Amino acid sequence: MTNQSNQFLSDENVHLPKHIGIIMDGNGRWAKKRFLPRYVGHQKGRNAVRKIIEAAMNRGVHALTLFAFSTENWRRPADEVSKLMAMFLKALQKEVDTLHKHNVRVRVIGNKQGFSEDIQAYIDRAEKLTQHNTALHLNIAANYGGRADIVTAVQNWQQAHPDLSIDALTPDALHPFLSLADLPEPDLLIRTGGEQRISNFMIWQMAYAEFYFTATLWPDFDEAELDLALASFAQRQRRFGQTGEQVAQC
Amino acid sequence: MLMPRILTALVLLVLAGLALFVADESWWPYIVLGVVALAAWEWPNLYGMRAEMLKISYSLVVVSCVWSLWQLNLASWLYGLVFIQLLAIGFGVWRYQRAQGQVYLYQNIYVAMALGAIFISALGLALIELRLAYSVWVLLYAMALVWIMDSGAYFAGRQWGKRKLAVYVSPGKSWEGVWGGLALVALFALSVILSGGLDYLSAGQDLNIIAFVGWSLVVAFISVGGDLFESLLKRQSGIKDSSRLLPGHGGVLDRVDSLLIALPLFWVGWVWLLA
Repeated sequence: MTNQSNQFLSDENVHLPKHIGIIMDGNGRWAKKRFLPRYVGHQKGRNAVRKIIEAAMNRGVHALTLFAFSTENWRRPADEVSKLMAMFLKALQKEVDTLHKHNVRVRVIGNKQGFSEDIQAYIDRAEKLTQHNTALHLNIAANYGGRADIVTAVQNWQQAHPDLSIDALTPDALHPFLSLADLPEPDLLIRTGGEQRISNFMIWQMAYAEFYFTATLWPDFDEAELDLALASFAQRQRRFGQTGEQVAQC
Repeated sequence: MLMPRILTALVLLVLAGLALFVADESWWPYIVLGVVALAAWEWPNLYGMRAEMLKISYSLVVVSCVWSLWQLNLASWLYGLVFIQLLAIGFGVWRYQRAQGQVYLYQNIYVAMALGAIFISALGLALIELRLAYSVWVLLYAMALVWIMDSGAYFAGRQWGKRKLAVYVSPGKSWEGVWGGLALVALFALSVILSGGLDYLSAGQDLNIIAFVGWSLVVAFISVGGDLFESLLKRQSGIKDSSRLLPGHGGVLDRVDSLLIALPLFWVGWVWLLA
């Protein structure tokens, strides 16, 4: 067993996830059901993000990672992509100061070079401004893909250890080079919108995450829905490959 | 009479400025709920109902309608609300004119209260949505359409007014006034485009210019209907003002009567203009 998982088992707060990952799915369908254009669904989705950040903080969650935009989402219609980008920029411009005020640390994971210079500048600003905040670690996965995350980690490991052979690479050795290595790994993954797959979201880090799927579309996901997910998580016994008896002894 | 009118206007202007540009955006829904509460409190006055308990309870009901619509993400209900508004206005004005004012419309208490809830909820929801989903500028543009229509119609009507628009509902209004108002609105929409103000409104998104001007004109035209509708209700009850809350101006409803239909309608078009 790695130190990582022992740290989980010995924690007394085992019933509350430390790090929640969320795949925020269903904005487009939410809008379509109401005869509204898709971008309105994304707007409403942004409101849901606000609510959930606040709720996560109130419940004492340590880290929250939101899957906002995957490397595959560029394949959507150009018009929707440009609207999403405009919305992302607006959110960075408007929300970051509020988050900072509430002592939230904001980070963006994923390939930032894919974004416009404007957006990159605001991401930089947000990360620098909030880097010492501690109340909640809020991570936005944007232009993110889990496989690319692993490949980049391997490349960075190689750069950091130019003299070592690839045979020396172990999971534990790779760990510090992955996204968000300084945070506990996500122990709960929530996916809204009814789909039940991981869609290349932090696939390495989610190795032991509990999955929670709900048909609720993201704009309708609120505090009560989050509590349902937390309750479901609290009931589960997390064994990390050990037997139930072993876990009970810890 | 002029002095209190100007003073009130100044106070309202300062309050609006504070609400729109100083107060944090997160306060906006509550400010709107405040306006909704006052407007709904006045609505029974339009029917000559003055029992304070009734007015306050009604106000609370309408406030909770707007609160729920907003909290439950039900902005798309504006489609339905606007549809009912258009029917109610169209039928009401047409029927009243046909009967040469010799008819009492919407007097059933349930119909009356439902209409108030629909009109005021639609306005409240549109006020919240236009600002929070878009921006202060989009909201102000929509409101400016109505004010410009009002002023243009007033001056053009005084200058050239001949053919009455709806003489039994509102004897002062003329078709010439409407055309004048629309001309001024078109000029305003064009000047927004030419001055580059469109980027402020659309936040850099593509927007069909012809549809933008066209929709502005439609909203301005229909806003007259909102005005006529409130006039009709007041005329039936023989009152001049919806209340005396605003010295020199009458009541809150008198100030927002044209907005009642204009803002929700504007929202419906705006959502699709940007799509």
